[in-house]
Amino acid sequence: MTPGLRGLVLHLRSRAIPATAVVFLCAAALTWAGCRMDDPGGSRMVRLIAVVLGVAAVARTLAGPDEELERGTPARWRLIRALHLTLLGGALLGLLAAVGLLAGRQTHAVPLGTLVQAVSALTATTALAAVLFGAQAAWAPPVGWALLMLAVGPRDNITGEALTWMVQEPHTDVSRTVPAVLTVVGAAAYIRWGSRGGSSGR
Amino acid sequence: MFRMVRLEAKRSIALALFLVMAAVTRAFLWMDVQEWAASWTPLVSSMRATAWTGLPVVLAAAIWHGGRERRNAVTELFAATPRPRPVRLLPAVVVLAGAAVLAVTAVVVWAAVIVSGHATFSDGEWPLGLAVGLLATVAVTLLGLGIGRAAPTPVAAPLGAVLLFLILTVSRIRDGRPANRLVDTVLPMLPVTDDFHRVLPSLSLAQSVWFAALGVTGVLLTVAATTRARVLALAPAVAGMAVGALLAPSGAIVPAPRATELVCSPEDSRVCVTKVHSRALPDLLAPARRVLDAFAEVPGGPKRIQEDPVTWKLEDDRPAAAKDPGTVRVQLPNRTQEGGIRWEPATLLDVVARNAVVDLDCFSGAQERARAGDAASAITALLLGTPTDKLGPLARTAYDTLRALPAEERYRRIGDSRKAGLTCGDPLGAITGEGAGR
Repeated sequence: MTPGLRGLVLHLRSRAIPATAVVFLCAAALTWAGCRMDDPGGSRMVRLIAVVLGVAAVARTLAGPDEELERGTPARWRLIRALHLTLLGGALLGLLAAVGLLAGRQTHAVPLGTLVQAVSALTATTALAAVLFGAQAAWAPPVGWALLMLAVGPRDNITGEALTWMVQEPHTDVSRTVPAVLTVVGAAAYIRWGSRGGSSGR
Repeated sequence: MFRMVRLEAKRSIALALFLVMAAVTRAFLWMDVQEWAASWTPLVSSMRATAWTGLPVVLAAAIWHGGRERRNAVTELFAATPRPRPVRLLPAVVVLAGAAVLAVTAVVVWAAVIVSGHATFSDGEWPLGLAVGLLATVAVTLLGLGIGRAAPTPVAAPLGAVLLFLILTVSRIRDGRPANRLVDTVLPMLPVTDDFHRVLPSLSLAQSVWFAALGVTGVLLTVAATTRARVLALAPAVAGMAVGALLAPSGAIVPAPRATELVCSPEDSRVCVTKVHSRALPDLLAPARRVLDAFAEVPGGPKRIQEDPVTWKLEDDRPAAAKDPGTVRVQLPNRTQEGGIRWEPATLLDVVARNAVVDLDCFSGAQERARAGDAASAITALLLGTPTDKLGPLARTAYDTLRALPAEERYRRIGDSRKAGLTCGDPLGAITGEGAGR
């Protein structure tokens, strides 16, 4: 095994990527089940829950077992973090979108735009939470917010639109802006600072 | 012990859980306040329905709390202490379950105070329904603590919350599901019900058995040290599910005759509402009397107006009561927080008058319904003198036809039209004289 490949394998293992991949596959299976549902509202709901399920597993991957120790090593961590976040979010998005297309029930489909927004913004929210609270607890803000959005349903005032951006259908300017801002801010913060150190071992 | 509990309360996520749980439960309960603010049965339903969002929160918090020792890598250290495992874990269990239960209890008390100010009927069974909701909260907390200790991964908490939310969501989507004893028992939410039905206490009993067993499984999982003990810990839950399903009634929602007893206007007994909605009577009196007076000259006209104890929420499989043409039945689905009728006076008058002329439920086709509605609008406008500017062309023709007739013939045709409208005939034809008695 070349040193580069070995480093990659070690990185993936230290980030629990195999277990995360299993969760992504479960989310894909759930998307498939959602696509087969007859009730459009229920189908939409289940497909969005599948997104949350996938994102719930992302937090764990945003830091290694000992973040402080890793940072002392002379690696290009910003690049690694950028690639990690992009590839992970991209993998989840690609998987869910592909399953949605394969299931071929376009009448009930969550539009691709909604899927892109949901996956990217929730992943970036997780990344932002990792910067603020550490990777171990970073699942709480995105999962909590997303489940609340699903439970509350779309609201039609400006604050409501901003808070329930994921379930707005059709999307409004506010419900497009909020996930875009979250994506940019979350990704940038994580790439710049990484997961908050110290807490990851707790 | 008390010192340990206090320390746990200060240093664990108990306070955060209390605040989040209270806020979420309060917010979701408030969302359908008009449904429950004036009667107990819907309060129990709505309160139990908050499990949809509340229980995933509790489960996630408990799993997180249960994984605390492992996250901090002190499992082996603590296992070496001489105190027995259950004794050592008791403060954590007490604090977390206590936080969740206190949060829900606080919201229940707040809601109960609101309801007690407005409710006019109590079957005495509502405390049982609310207690089972609290028991479900405790059971899920204990289960979460058990899962947190048993599952060696930090993603268990979010995955647990999402999976529970998924299960509860799918069970909600299957609205109008056929009664299934196992599903009714296992779900923390009650089957759909309304003010005129009640949940059999035997369902609450079955659910208590199931949730108590689930709690025992949680405790056993929490204190289990080996894989074998963890597998065995599942036995109470399985047994509780089986026993609960056997104890549960096959149809848990039954009519509540005491709630649907009629309470009538004291002066003349011409206007009646159900006991559970008796605060709606003052709002109904004026429009109901106006309609009855307006129809006084009509042969075979209505003599009495009463609330129809039927709602859109629940298909009632009781045989429909024989229709008495002298009694107008009105559904009052929109009520205020105080139990009054949440309709503009003009809308209420319109609804009562329309129900006095036609039974729209018996017209299946859109065109037939529209014709019946036009007939009702024409008669209402004529007899009550309400504005005619919104009448459609057909209704306008019927209105003009009636107005041009001599009084006796006019009332006879209104009587015929009403008879046709209540027996699924052609009320508009009866007015204009084309195809009367069809």
